[in-house]
Amino acid sequence: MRRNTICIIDDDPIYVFTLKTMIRIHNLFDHIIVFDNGQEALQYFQTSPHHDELPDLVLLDINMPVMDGWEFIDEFRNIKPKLSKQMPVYIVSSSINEADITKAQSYSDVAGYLVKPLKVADLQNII
Amino acid sequence: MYAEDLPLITENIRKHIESRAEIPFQCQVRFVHKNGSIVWIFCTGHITEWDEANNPIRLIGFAMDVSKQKQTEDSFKISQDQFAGAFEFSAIGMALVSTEGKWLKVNKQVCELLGYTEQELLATTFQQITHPDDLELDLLHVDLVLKGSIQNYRMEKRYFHKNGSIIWGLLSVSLVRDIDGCPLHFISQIEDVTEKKKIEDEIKQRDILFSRLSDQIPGSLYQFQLFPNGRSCVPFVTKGVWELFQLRAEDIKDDSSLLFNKICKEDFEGFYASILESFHTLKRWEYEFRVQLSGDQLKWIHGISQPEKQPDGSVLWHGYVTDITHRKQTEQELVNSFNIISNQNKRLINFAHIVSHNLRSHSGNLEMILDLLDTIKAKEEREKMMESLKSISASLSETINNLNEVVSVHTNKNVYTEPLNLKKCLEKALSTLAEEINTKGGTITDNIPDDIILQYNPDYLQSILTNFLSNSIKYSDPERKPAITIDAYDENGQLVLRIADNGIGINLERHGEKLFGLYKTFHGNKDAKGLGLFLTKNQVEAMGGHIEVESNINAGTVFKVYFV
Repeated sequence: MRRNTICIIDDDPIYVFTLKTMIRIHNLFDHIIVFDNGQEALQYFQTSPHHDELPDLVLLDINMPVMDGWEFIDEFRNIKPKLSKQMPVYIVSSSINEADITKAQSYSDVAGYLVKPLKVADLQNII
Repeated sequence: MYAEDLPLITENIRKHIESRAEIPFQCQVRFVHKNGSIVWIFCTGHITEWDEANNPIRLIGFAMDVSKQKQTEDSFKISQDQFAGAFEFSAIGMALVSTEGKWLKVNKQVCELLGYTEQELLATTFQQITHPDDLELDLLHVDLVLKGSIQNYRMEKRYFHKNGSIIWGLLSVSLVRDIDGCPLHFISQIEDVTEKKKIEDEIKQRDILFSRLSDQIPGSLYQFQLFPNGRSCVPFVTKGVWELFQLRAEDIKDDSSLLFNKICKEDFEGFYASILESFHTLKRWEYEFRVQLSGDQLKWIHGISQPEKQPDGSVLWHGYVTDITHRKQTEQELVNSFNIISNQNKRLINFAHIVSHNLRSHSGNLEMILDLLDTIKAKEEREKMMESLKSISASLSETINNLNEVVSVHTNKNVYTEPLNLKKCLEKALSTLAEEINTKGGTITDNIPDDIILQYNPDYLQSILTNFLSNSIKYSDPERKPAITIDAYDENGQLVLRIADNGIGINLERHGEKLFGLYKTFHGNKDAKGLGLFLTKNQVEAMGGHIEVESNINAGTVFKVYFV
């Protein structure tokens, strides 16, 4: 059975917990993968090339330790062609800073920009 | 006989005869010489014999050639006429004046000059129409000439015009003496110099005005000249030069070396280069430079002038120099203020970021949970939610506390300080991180001398030490055990604390900015100061110091904290 997988890259445990609960209640995804920084996520993508094991959607935070959202995207670009799956990456941030929003829009690899707090409708729209 | 004169002689003889020789026969008449020239003949005679009917029988007389005399007479008359003409029609006033001062003879110009008619003048003396302020000197000269001490004199004096106005005249007087040397009369020439005097006066007024202006203005008006052979001088400079440069005008009139010596060494090259440029391009010169005066006095001077090429190849500038030390100080203060404001602005932006991001993270989470709370009914789940709510609340409080700290570090002008033993404070910080250090198997090398006392705020110092040490531990390399070395020494009068680790190092190019930035909630809830090094940097800077970082990837990082 094909699983519907979402990948959350965020270091805020409360937010992750809340999001997971929301996804579960509304049955949005079957499977949730969580990383608390970009580095770990990249490692996972590179070492698990199986179609099924790669997520269908990525929600990416900007402010994380070790490797933040922007750095992740830069690296992600490089490995994207080698991946066996197209994964839309959405930036999710509590920043309503104009500069951040514009920057997100300038990356062609970013599918969209969502502002925390997330609502169910936000997720439903992008699935 | 000359035809015109014939009736003259005829008449003369007739009268002589009719008056029976009472009226003498004598007259001068002209004869025409055979060669065509005119000869003047003086004829005189007397009838000596008469007949019974009273008719003249014999006349005895003689004729004399008086041509020469006549010529002389005529020449003399012509001279006299000429003199009279010269006297009368001279453009300069001429007069004959008696030794007592009476006008004896005056020409037209004197009359026009003084406004009187000839008769009016001849009825008065020069003393009567001389200005009282000039009379004494005039009479003194008259006296000297009469005595023979001087031959003549010349003076400018004032006369009263008939209408009461003042006339300035240039008077030249000489004395005519008779054969025995006794004074006869004065010959006076009076030239109207009223207009000249007026112009002189205007020039004087203008000079006074210029002096007053140039003395009053701050700074100096000047002329500066540079010759092709490199010689330079200041031909003219107003009084202000003393106050500006402690030099007098004569010191630099022929050679400007003394002035150049006063210019600060660092500024002289640029100063001279700018002059040369103006010399060649003949464009306006403007420069600001410093001069060093006695007593360690340093002044900022502003000079501006317009060049003009001279026929001899030199260039002459006319310009103005002034002291702008005060202005420069104000400028510097402005720059300082600007820097302060720029920094404040940066901090404000940072602050806004904290609010925008950190606060919103927590409030966002709160919103999400509250949303979910409506749909979740199961008790266990709800309990989990409640836990989360508590956690969020704590995080919010913490963030707000951090914000308060950031604000207070900067608004706190008079931070409390006390003498602190650096080594002891370090040991205290190490003890709070003891667990983490032990977990990672880290070693600390403490090289701080026992006796270093620092006047500092105890909370800040504790926070600074703890944060840096904790940072070194965070960035430790998983491949090896962390080793941290701490030194303290003096560098150029500043106390430096050096914390070196052997961790993974930081790519300062990429992360340099973030290192002291705000978003780094590395260990979110563990750190008391979640804002990490941002706060530390602010604390160090608030106390007047600064931080320097060196780092090599996979080798380690060195933090140097400069205390004031």
